[in-house]
Amino acid sequence: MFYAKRVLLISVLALALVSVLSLAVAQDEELVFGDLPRSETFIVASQAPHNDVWDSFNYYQAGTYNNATGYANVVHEPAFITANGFYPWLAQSWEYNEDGTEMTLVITEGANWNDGAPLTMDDWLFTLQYNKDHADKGISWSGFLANVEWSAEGSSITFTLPDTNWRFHYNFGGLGTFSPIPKHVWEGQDPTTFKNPNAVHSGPYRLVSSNPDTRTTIWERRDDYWDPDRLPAPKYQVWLKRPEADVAVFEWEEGNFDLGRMPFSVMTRIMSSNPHIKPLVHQDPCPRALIFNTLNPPLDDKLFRRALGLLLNRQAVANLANVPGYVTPVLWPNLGEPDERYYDAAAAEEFQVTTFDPEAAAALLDEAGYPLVDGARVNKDGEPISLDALYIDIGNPAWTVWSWLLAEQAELVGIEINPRLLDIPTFFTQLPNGEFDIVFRWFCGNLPGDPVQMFDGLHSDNAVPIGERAGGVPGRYSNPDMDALIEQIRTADPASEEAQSLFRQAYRIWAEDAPYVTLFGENEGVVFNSQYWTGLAVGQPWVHWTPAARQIIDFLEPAGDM
Amino acid sequence: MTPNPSSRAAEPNADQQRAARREVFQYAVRRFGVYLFTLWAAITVAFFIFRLVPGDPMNILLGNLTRAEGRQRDAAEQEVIIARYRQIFGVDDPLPLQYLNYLRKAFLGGLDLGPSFVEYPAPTRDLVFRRMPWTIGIFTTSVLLAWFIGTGLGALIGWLQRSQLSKLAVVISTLLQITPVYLVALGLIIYVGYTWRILPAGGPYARHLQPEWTWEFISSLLTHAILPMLSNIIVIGAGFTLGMRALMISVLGEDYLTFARAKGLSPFTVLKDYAFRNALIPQVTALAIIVGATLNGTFIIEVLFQLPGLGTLFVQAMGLRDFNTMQAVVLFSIFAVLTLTLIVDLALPLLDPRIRRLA
Amino acid sequence: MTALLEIRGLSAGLQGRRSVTQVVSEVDLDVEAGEILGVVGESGCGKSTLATAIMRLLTPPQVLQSGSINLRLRDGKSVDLLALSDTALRQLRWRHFSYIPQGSMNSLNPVLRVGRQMMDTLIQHGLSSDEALARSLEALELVNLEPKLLESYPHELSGGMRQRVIIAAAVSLQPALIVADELTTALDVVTQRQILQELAGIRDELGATIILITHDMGVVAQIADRVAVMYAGKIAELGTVNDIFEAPRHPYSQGLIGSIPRESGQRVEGLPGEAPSPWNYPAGCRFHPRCPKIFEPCSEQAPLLLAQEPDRWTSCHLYDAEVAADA
Repeated sequence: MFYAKRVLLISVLALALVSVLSLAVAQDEELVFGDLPRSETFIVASQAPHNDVWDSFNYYQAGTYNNATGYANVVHEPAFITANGFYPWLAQSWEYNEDGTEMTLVITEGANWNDGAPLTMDDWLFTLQYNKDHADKGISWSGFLANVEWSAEGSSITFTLPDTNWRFHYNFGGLGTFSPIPKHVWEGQDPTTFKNPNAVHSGPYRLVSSNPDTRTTIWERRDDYWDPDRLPAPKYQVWLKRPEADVAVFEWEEGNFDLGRMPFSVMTRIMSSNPHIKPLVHQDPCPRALIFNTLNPPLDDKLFRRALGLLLNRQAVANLANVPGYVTPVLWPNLGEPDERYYDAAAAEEFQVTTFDPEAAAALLDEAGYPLVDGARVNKDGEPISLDALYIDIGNPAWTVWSWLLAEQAELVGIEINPRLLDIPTFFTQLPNGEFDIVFRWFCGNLPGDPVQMFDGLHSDNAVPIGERAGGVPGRYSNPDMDALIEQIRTADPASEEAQSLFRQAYRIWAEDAPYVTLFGENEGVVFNSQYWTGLAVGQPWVHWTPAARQIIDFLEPAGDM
Repeated sequence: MTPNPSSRAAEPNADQQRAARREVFQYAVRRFGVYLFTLWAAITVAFFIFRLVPGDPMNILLGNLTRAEGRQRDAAEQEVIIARYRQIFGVDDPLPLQYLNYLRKAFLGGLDLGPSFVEYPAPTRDLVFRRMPWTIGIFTTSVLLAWFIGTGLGALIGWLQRSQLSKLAVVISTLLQITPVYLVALGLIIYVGYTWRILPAGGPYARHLQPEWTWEFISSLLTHAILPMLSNIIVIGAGFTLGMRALMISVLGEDYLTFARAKGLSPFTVLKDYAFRNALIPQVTALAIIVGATLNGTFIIEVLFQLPGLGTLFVQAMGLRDFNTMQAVVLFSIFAVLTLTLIVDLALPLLDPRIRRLA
Repeated sequence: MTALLEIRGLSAGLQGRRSVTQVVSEVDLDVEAGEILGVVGESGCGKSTLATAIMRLLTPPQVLQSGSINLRLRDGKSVDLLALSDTALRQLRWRHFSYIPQGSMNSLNPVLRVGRQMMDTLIQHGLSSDEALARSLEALELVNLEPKLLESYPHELSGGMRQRVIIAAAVSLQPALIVADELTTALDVVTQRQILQELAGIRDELGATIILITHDMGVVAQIADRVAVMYAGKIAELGTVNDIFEAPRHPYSQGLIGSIPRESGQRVEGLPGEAPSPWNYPAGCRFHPRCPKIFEPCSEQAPLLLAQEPDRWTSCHLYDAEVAADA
């Protein structure tokens, strides 16, 4: 009896010990999302737009294309990656013939799809034909193939172009790019409705699950990725829709996310309560600018427009926006230091691009024939000038502050400017229709994307009547000299000295005519959690919400102390 | 003096009863006619209002796309895309024709509410049907729970109106009722969800799960539903409590209550059959009214708790000016409120014999 | 023979923020078994408060201040209604004393059928549902109502029918005491007369004692055996109906009687002035500001309710030999 009791006691103790030990072992590795080890999982809190789609991985679909699921970043791969230049990815190189009427693209051999099937020339040719055939369905990456013929030989595709075109290769790199799709998945599918449910593309991850209810997509790294040297560190990636900022703060404080955008207003708080959280401020590639409607007098007068440009105190906007370094003045239609090859410093000096000088503005207005009468500048008909300045508010103070500063400075020289806040849908409607005097918006014309975008939007093709939607820059600007330059630039080889000279001339016209004036480049508030992953740093050439961000995952390294 | 009393008492006048039944039937038919007319008017108003809101969805779509891709499109490419969507959405027809098409498709085409931008190419009907269970599940359940709790609690503190506890309950309910539901929800998220970590505070269920009939999924669904429902129950329930208390107090002053007590009935019978049953009638009507008024609060809750319900859908659709979807959500809300009102109106005669006559 | 109901020193008032305003002051009253006692007085004289206090149905802000109400039960024991527990009191209600409230028109629960409202009480008091039905039918017959009314809802009945249902309910357990408050106020004259006759019939048939509270002297004259005249929360005079109507002693009674039109077209003189509200009951005799026979002590000293002869009580200094002598 006594013996039996002892046996019982010992076995109970042993059982308790085993369970405690197993618990300790289990706690050794923190698990998230069911059974993913936290230290091997990279969690992105993405900020999906309104049309966030979690069960479709179709990069053609204009209405639904977004990267909330991470599809564009971890699975979809471009032909070339762009970061201060073109880098081979699914394609190796390109070459033009002598007169720029043919381009030969060399594709990367040995790539495969994330369902295991090889990525072959067949897929390339299928995709080209597929895009061309469905051009009428309003899909992306199809327009550039109109009237283009191609033929394949070995690992080369030779494109026969209808006209001389030295910029054809930009369709394979840069921000919006052509890339092949798997023929065995897409054949017979409608590009506007097919959902590509298994997210088949060539990236290093495959889809584990994606759920529109929880708005969560889970990716698992594959072992058979075609370029083992560039296998990213995280075994799992989880992309999820970030909660409202008020709630997301707590997730960040607990270290539940690794990367994501957050408003500047709460970043300091998050960083002070979780020392692992680091700001990863990076510059948005699209500088902010003011567009003038050149059909509305006196904005049809370039002197008047330049005078308004002189009234903008870009540094004051930066100071008032209250985050030092948050905005930086922009000297030309692109961000950063001007590239000397495309830039005319003398013109910038002469026309005082980005200079803040109210006195010069007043002098310019006097000279242009807008005299001060009873404290108000009058137009050519002798009536006081009053203009509306439209903007939207997306939470960045700089987007609001400029209009008040402009109105204040304009009042000092006698011009009435009324800032008008629009809601986003209305803004996107009024803007292309030309229903504005002055409007605040962004320009994405950055190098090393196709530099033609720098001025292409100013072509008078876009100067349609007010009420009709305009492409390009919606300010209805037209200048025959500019048109001629743009047309020449379109057919020139951007790398040639001749093209660069054309760019410098266009820059001069832009600076003199001021169809729009640049304001500042703006930083994005991205936060990064260094508890589990390191390697991301300020200054890396990436933008986390574009396909070019494929690179960011290559920078990641395990934090190691886990 | 008592010759077979039961037969004398239970013998109703057959003619009278038939007439009464006819009256009730006519009332129901008339009420249903009003219901259909209101529904039609609501559909019509919603159709035109959302199409008159400034903002062209096609342009917004392009704007978003430009931002997502980070590049300008050339005008020709834009025209193709826009023309394609204008055709799909049928917005090139004159407005009256669009309206007739809409009605025809909605009623004869199996509730085809048109295409939608939010999750194109998923049609509006699919979106609404997919999101509806969440809203019905969270909202209806919590409003009904709030009603039951509020009615019970309100009856009790009205009945015990002079006790200190009851007075305290009134103060607390008043405070809760005037608190914006946003703050209550946020408070629950912060304290229950994150500080004390008692319950999950976001999402419809754990992120790694897929809907299936497993205990893991169902328990996750239920625990995730507690806080959003609680937010609604606290705020709406406080309103119902105060409403029921007021009704109760006014009923307590009625002569039939004094008489009931004079009869020596037990307090429980007096409460149940005399006070509660009379206070209940306006309280049921209040339920129907509250449903319409609190729907928007539920929308906020859905957004805060990241629930894939109609509220979230509406916010998304509004951002895109996706008029088909906005309209469908509004229609659903109107339909729900009207139907509930209809049910309440048809059910009231069961509760209140006086209304049977009025009809 | 001891009285069926003995009220001693009963005071009740309204609870204010700081103090209690007395509405009924120190009322002493004996009610004999089998009699109909009319309690008359102007509106606001406290007669309804007295009735509710007897029924122990005062609800806040009404409060009981002091006193005792002894009811003799069938077994001869006497209980103080004001000292009983709620539960014990509930057992006695309806079996021993019942109530026909003021506003009988609204005293029926609108959402329950008449039958249920009559029978739930009976079932509560221990009857089976068959017994309850039988009793209810008997009671309806007493007030000349048809049995099928049990199936009706209150709103389907006329005012007179509702009043009769209330009476039927009140007598269904054959209580010894019935307190009827403003029984006939909202009814037309014909119905009024019928109902009073029925009430008298009930008294005769069941041997019940009835306290009839009314402002209508005519009603009292028709049916009461004795009359208590109330003024400003106190009983001014108590006596048989003949004594009071033929030879009222209290100046207030005299005024009341004098204001009854005896013949058609006769002009009557009402009492000058208005009855005081509980918040400003005068000191001394509460009637003195309106009294035509006021003399010295009236404004200082409150008169006591004294018996001048058996069954003849008056509360007036004129009839208090000592005070009258002093003056």
